[in-house]
Amino acid sequence: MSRLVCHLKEHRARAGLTQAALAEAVGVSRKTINTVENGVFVPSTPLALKIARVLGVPVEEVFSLEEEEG
Amino acid sequence: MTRFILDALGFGLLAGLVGGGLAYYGLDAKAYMPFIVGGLAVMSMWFSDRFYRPKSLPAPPDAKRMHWHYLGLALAGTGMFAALVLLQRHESLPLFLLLLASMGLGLWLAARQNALRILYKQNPALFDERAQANQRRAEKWAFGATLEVAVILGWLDHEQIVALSGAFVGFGAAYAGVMAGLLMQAWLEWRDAR
Repeated sequence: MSRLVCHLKEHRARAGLTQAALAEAVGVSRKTINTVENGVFVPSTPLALKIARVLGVPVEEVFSLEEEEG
Repeated sequence: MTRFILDALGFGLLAGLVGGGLAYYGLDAKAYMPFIVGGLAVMSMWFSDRFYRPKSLPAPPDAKRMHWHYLGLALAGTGMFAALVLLQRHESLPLFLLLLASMGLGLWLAARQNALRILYKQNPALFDERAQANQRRAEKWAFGATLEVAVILGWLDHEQIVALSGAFVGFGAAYAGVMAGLLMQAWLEWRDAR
């Protein structure tokens, strides 16, 4: 079983962007960025790629898979 | 909003004609009136929502407060359903006023929902993939609730455990579906806003 690990908060802080600024740049609501950061909502592939592009990092650095036992 | 009220009045007039026609042919129109009026009010909401494009739009909604909008719709639906069911059994002014108030609230919220839908088209970020996923989940939940309530009420009536009319089973299932969808969407939006 794999689990999605999200490093969006760290990368966003490093890029000096607020949730609202990132949301506007990728065309979603701030609420959506918040839920992605908290692991409540798993973004689609296009949204994940847009976020990575705005942050200037490869998508695997923002989102990665972690193997879970069982 | 004016258009919605005019539509509701138009459909109300139609309800009067239908009721009058039933009474003319010797049928007990009074017993069916609440359902006729309620059904036509829902039709007027759908008609306006489908064909009317408002000239002015409200300010962009605060995404963090969308759950109140869905809870309001649920409240209006509950008031209307309760008044419709009870009015059929007991004629009373408070029940009639409850029906009118819930229909008024429902009409206002339906008008707002229509305007919001246009805002979403103009600004897709307001109805992004998270909000769409919430809506899909709520619709799935609503479908399940409708089916389950229809099966339970139908079974109770079929086995003569509780004497229910076919109309009540139908209205009950429809009401349960609408409520389940609205409340689920309200809850998902509230959860995301925390």
